[in-house]
Amino acid sequence: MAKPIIECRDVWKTYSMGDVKVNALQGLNLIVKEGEFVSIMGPSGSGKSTAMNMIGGLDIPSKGSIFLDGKNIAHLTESDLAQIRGRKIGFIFQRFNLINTLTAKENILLPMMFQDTPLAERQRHATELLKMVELDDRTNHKPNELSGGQQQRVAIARALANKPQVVLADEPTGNLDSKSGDIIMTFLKKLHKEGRTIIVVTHDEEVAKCADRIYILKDGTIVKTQKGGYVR
Amino acid sequence: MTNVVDFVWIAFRNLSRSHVRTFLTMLGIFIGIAAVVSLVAISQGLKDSIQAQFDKIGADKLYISVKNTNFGVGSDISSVKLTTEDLDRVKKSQNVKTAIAYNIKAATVTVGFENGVHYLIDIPDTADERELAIALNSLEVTTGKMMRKNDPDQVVIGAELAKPGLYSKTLGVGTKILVNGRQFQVAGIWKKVGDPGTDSSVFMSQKTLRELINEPKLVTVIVAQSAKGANPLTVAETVKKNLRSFRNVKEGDEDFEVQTPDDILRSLNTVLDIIQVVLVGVAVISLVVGGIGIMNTMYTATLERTTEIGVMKAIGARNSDIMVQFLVEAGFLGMAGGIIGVALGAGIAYLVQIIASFYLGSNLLHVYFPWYLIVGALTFAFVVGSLSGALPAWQASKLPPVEALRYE
Ligand SMILES: Nc1ncnc2c1ncn2[C@@H]1O[C@H](COP(=O)(O)OP(=O)(O)OP(=O)(O)O)[C@@H](O)[C@H]1O
Ligand SMILES: [Mg+2]
Repeated sequence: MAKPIIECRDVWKTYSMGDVKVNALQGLNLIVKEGEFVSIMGPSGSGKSTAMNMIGGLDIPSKGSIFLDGKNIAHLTESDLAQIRGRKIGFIFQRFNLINTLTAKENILLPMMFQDTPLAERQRHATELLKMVELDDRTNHKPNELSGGQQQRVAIARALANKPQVVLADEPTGNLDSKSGDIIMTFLKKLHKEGRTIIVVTHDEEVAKCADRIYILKDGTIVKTQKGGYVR
Repeated sequence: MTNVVDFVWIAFRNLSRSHVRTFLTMLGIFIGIAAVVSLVAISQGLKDSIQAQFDKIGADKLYISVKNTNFGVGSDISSVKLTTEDLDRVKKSQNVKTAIAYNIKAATVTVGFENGVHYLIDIPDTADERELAIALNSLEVTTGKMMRKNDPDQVVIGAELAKPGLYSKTLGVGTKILVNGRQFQVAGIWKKVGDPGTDSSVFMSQKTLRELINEPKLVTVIVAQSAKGANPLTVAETVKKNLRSFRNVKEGDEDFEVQTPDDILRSLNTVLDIIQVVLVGVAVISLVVGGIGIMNTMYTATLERTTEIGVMKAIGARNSDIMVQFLVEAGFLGMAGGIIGVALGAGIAYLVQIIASFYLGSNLLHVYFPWYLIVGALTFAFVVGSLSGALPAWQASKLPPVEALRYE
């Protein structure tokens, strides 16, 4: 039986803009088991991205606990969170978010630089990852010399640089045509097969169906859980 | 802690995204550094060459002149005068080996139909006094010959006066000129000494000059040589005391002054130091302006790279990493500006040296680059850069990652 790697317990997030308070999350409860492929769906503004940011340690909740690998990360300092983000989480964004001044390979080297990985090991691993996302012929290309799909593949490689347990992807196919999107999903499925925990936020039914389980979010809380079409 | 080399590498990548902006940002720094380096190198070189000149004269000399008169320039305005009687007193002072006097007077020089104003300097008429006067001013005849003692109608001219184009008729050996209306013939030309005063003066026998200006006893400057082994400063005090009693003035009210080369050197150095401080101050202001330029660029970078900062944080960068990254970039801007500045400053200094040797004779100015000037300039540039980058770096580092990522 797989143990839970992520657990949100009654998580609230309130943004205040002047006098107006927005509850982006309202008592979110969610469990993701080690090695699971989960997708999160829901209308715009329902709190999907907010939930992802909490799970990934990019932000802290106003109330509630978030357990990552058994450790509550809800009250950690920014510096501790940075460590956790760097080592345990791999982020994939809708807008790719590669560093434009750096080449494909250098973008992949960057997360390892923050973890003090030995130089030779960084180089070796980056090359390996580029090969994995089938971009070894684009090693020295800058992001603006790559297509959207290729950029997202570099982003996947970058997310894997520090061998994280969890990969978080917030609408990874949102800015891509369906063909490129399919390729991205193929890579994510492959990562899942290798044993990584994957959480994908999406608006796309087809994408969501890749998952073991689909959570439907509405007004900052899970309203429905359904089985995905993924066959192990 | 992440390796510094990594930060330098990223800084380099970031700075090369806009060459023009990077260059303009460094401009302020390198102008400032270039100014500091060249000014210090030139003034230090100047001090050294002045020191060398004084070493040549020797530390055993005393210069006695009327107060408020600049060394080397005549006292036409002052009513206070020194005379041959003062000279005798100086000569008779204890521990004074010899003393000579000479006059410096402005005079009208007529060459053909043209008139000019030049200084007349006289040369004593006894053999050993003459020798001393010539040695003191490092004089040497290169063309023609020296005038004879008591020569009533021959002169030797400075090298600048013999330059073609000064008058329509170029002065040379044998040329006849009028000085204050009296006719003289050029007997010889001095080798260029590098001092514009000496190089453009007319030299004649002391007796003749006194006749010409109708001042049989006048002396402008008395130069005394202290006896071997005697302390020039003690001798200076003795001479002062004797002159005070002879001229009947109280201590502190002297209308004359006795200076040793050390005194003169010190006062010249003081002037140079003041000039140096003022100019370096101006240069430092330009460095501050350069620092503000770096600060501005780094603030712009914080805004431009907000999303990037968010991404860096998402992939594991701590606040301190972002902080160091920005500091290294700002420091790099300062440092690069400093390197260009040092190179430019050295270039300017050498250019000044070349120009100086062209106009004033070679070997006069040797610009001087002590290691601490170069290391100091580079360190300072780096510090100015980093300090200017500190505030923007701190601002960038404390951006919350989620907000940075949402930034458009
Ligand atoms: N920094 C913020 N300040 C104020 N309100 C915020 C902030 N971030 C999110 N919100 C609000 O919280 C709610 C949830 O936002 P979130 O971005 O999580 O939605 P989402 O489900 O990801 O939507 P989408 O599908 O459009 O990406 C929204 O109402 C949003 O306006
Ligand atoms: Mg969203």
